[in-house]
Amino acid sequence: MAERRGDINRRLLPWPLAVPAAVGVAFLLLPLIGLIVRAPWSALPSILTDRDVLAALRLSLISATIATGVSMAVGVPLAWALARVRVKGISALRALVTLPLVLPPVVGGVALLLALGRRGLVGQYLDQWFGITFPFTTAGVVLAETFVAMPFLIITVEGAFRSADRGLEEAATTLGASRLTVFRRVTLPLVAPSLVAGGVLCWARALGEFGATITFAGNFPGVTQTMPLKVYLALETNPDGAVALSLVLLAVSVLVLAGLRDRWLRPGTPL
Amino acid sequence: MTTLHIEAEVRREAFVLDVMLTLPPSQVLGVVGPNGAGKTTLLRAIAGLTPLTTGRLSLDETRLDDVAADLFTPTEQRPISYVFQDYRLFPHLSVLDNVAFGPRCRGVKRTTAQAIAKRWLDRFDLADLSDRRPQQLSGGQAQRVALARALAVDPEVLLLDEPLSALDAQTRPEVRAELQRHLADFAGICLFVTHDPLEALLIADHLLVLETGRVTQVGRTADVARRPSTPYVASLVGLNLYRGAVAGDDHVNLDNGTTLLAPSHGAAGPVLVTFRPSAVAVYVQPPTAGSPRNTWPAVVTSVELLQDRVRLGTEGAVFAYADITAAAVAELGIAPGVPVWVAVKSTEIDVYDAPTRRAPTRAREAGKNRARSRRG
Repeated sequence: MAERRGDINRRLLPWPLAVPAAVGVAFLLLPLIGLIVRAPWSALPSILTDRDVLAALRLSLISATIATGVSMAVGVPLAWALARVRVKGISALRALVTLPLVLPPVVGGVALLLALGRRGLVGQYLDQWFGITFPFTTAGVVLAETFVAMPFLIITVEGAFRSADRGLEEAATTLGASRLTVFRRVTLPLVAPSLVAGGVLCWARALGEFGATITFAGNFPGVTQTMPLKVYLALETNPDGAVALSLVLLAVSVLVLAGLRDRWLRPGTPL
Repeated sequence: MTTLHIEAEVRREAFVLDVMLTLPPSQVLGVVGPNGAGKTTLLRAIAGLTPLTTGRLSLDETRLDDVAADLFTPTEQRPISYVFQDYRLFPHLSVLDNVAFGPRCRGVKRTTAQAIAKRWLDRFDLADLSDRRPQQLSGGQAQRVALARALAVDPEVLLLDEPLSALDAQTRPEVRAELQRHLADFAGICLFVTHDPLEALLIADHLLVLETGRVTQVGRTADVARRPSTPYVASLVGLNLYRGAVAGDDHVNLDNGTTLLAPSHGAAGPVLVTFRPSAVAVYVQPPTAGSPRNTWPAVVTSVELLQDRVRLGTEGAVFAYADITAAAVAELGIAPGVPVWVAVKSTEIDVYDAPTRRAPTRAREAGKNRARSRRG
């Protein structure tokens, strides 16, 4: 049967695909709409200028940023090793390293406690010898966030290292570049888009981290109480405040996504 | 002034590359051979990108790779640069920084490296493109940038892997002429792999023929072109080539039983026999009286239009290519399947000693001796 020519380029999906897709969209968007509709818009300014809220927001942003920095410093070389080193057992190592991706964050927090807590495997010596303790400190927050978020960076960047053009690295070698120079001046710039994408993923995950943080670092206002913790607690005592804080986190996420969308996250962009 | 000694064997599954060769200073060696002959593998071994399985590579007294002595100079420490077939310019760097990359890596200060790069870009007439990214260059420009980048590190050995093959037919002659000019100025040793016989004949002063990993012929370009020793080289330079044995002062028995009348010029025993396709005359009727001493009936098997003539494949007493004019094709009604008579004047036939059959070790020796005599 003939169709209107004008429809050629905008034919719809067949309905068995279109219906579930529409359900998916609704499911993902509805909660966000709820958040926006029910937000206490008039009370917003006073809630958001509250000293505690600002402190939590500040703590969240700072610790997520530091966690991302730590993840970059440690995770990028690790990703390179996972992508390039040809040793038996490297794939097992990859699985272990990315385990926190699927591990319940609470379990991660407990594990951190057992390793780095005041009585932990390593933590007891850190405490005895250097007087360093992590639980109930901001450093503990950073550790918990790094533990949960770094794997996101690692898998993103590892994939990029894996698919980076080895020919260009060879070319650099023939021009006299040492392996470190090749990494610094060729490989790293080549994977820069993935570095940014992985960094953002990592940062966003760290910003929203809840389970590991509350388990390992506790919930002290100003020291370890990040935004997600504040939201959760506020929900019981001050629901309007919780909604307002959630709105702030949503805004931050949308801002990040919008900032990256054009440059890095376009569909089909090689990462 | 350096000499490159190659005594290389690289094994990869079923493939074996086996080359023994000495390259004297400032030689420009064309490496030719069919696909999969190991040409690129040879270059990669010299650059250190593919380690030898056995053997040695040395540049004067510097051992680049010595399997027996367990020594290996990493690629980045070899005074060798490489122009890849696909150029491999760094997409994230400007043209200037691409060329400055090598000097920078060899410990030159940033500003000095850029000055060096500028000089090379000037020499290659590329100064206007300094700030461009490689993606913004045409094929010919990218090729020149790649060559400039390779030369900017002042290498002792320059490796070119089919440097012109990615160019279209229009730009190729121009870039080839330029490449020729730059290689003439280049003091080091140059090996370049090519598929194009014309490129090999124009640019190389010596040719190395690789077939299935082994050297089948090596020598001065003119000698290889005039006296090919394998069917591959013969077809490369466009000659009819046969193996045979001298049977008297004026005739040669070919391996397939045919006898050709040809002056043997003192050659004896196993010989190779060549004549040019243009030395072959084609008749549609048996030639009755004429000077050509060798005539035989044949059937046209292929007709191919070359630039200014038509090349016929003819199958008769032997398979022979014959070049005739397009007008002759039309007038004589020649087409595949048409029976013809083929004639070759005996004075057009070149007869020369066949190189010894290539048992691996003998082929190595032959290569070595030729290389030695070239140096003198």
